[in-house]
Amino acid sequence: MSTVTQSRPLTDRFTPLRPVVPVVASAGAATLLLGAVTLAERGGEVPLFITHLVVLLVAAGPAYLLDDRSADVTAVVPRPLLRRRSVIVGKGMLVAAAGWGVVVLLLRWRSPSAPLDALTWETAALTWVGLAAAAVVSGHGVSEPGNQVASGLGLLVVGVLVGQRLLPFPVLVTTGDGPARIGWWVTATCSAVAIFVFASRQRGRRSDRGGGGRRGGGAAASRTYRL
Amino acid sequence: MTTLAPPRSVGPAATPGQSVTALALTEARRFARHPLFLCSLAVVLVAQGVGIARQQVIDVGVEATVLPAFFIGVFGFVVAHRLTTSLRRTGDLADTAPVGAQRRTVALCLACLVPMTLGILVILSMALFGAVWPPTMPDRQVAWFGYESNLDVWAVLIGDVVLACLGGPLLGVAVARWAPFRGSALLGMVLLMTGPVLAQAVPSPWYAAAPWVIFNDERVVGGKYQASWILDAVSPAWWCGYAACLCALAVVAALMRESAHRRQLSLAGGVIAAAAVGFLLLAVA
Repeated sequence: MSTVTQSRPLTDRFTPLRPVVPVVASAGAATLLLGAVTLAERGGEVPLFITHLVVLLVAAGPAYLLDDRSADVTAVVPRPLLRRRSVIVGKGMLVAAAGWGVVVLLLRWRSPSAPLDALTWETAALTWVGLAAAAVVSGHGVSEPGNQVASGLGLLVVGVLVGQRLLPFPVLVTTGDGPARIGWWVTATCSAVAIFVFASRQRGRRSDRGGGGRRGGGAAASRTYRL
Repeated sequence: MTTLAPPRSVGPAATPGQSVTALALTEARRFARHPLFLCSLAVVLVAQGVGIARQQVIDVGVEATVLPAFFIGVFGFVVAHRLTTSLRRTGDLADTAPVGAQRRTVALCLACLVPMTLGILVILSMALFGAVWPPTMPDRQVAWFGYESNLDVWAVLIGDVVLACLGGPLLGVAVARWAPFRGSALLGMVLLMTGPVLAQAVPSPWYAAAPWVIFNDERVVGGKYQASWILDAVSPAWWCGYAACLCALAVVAALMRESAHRRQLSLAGGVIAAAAVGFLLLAVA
């Protein structure tokens, strides 16, 4: 008697990690950019403007976590939306945190005057603002909100960096001795988390998507589960 | 009694020029109505309004070009990228398109004249308000008309505003044609912003090889501007030629995504690249 062992295809093993690929890519791009600038500066400190761009790259990646290409063709979802998103977001945040850790190490090595605490809070807040915005956009029927949100977040951050002198108060730390607006960023983070949770409530989506689906899903579609 | 209606005459098929013109007008309307473009327009108008209210539109000379260059040029990059990739998003719905991808790319490039027109209006208003309320500084030296040569000031305004407003969107089309993956807009935008900042670390005058250059320098005491002037290291007029060549190279790069006319485009790209090098050498000479 022989035993037949059927192994899972390699692509299936990596399927649960697919949503975090953009986070890995953006964190990797941030690290590469910081490394390249560090080399280009030839011993000098990395300009804070560039550091903010690195922060932006790390923070914008998680906005892609809520992209769900199969949303329009899936009739039944096995778990509540918030629970499903929590798993994906948890994995993505771990990757983003690891990426930020590498960035912090690089900054501590070559740019000791960079306000790392303030930048860390800024990164956390921007990440959650991106996630909250993605959840809100996704709630309006956009199945892949990542591109819109990441571009919008980028323009917002760089816009504030460029036009900050027109604002009545500094939002981003632009000089090493500038005040760290940690209170501001903690408030922004808490608000963004609340918006993310609120926007990820089911609000009758399960019943909407059940019963054969809205868009001709039928039995075949009802067997397709979203991640 | 029946009335027979004569058959509707079928007009001659549209020529390539007519189809490109019609598409370009459509894309230009889409560009002008895009929320991000309207947002950049609003920021520029608010900045001008604040300047008019304070009777000081030009505060530190040509450094006032930073705001329109970013808010029209970089926002235009994202708008153009989104308009270009929107053609891919509808690919599943429309298997066949009435015109080829290359002609649609030409139309998108022509639509980039919309932000350029806004850039022209911005520099004209800057020149007008600068004449009404001339900028002044304690050391009586401002990088503006009356203190610097008119040619240099106009060249800085054209190079840093008008060509930035054209080049950003054209680069957006090229990036979207060659790298339409998720996140390419964000990555392109970050690299577009990083280039000019990193170029400041390059020894003078070779920082002029960047796609956007800060031509002025200023003296600041206690956080207050005392004087500003246009640097002699780079000729702004010749640099405009270099920037225009970069814009043309972006168009060629966008068009080369398709296999049609690739040989002619390669030839044109080579000539333009050689011209760009020539202009850069003249600018730094």
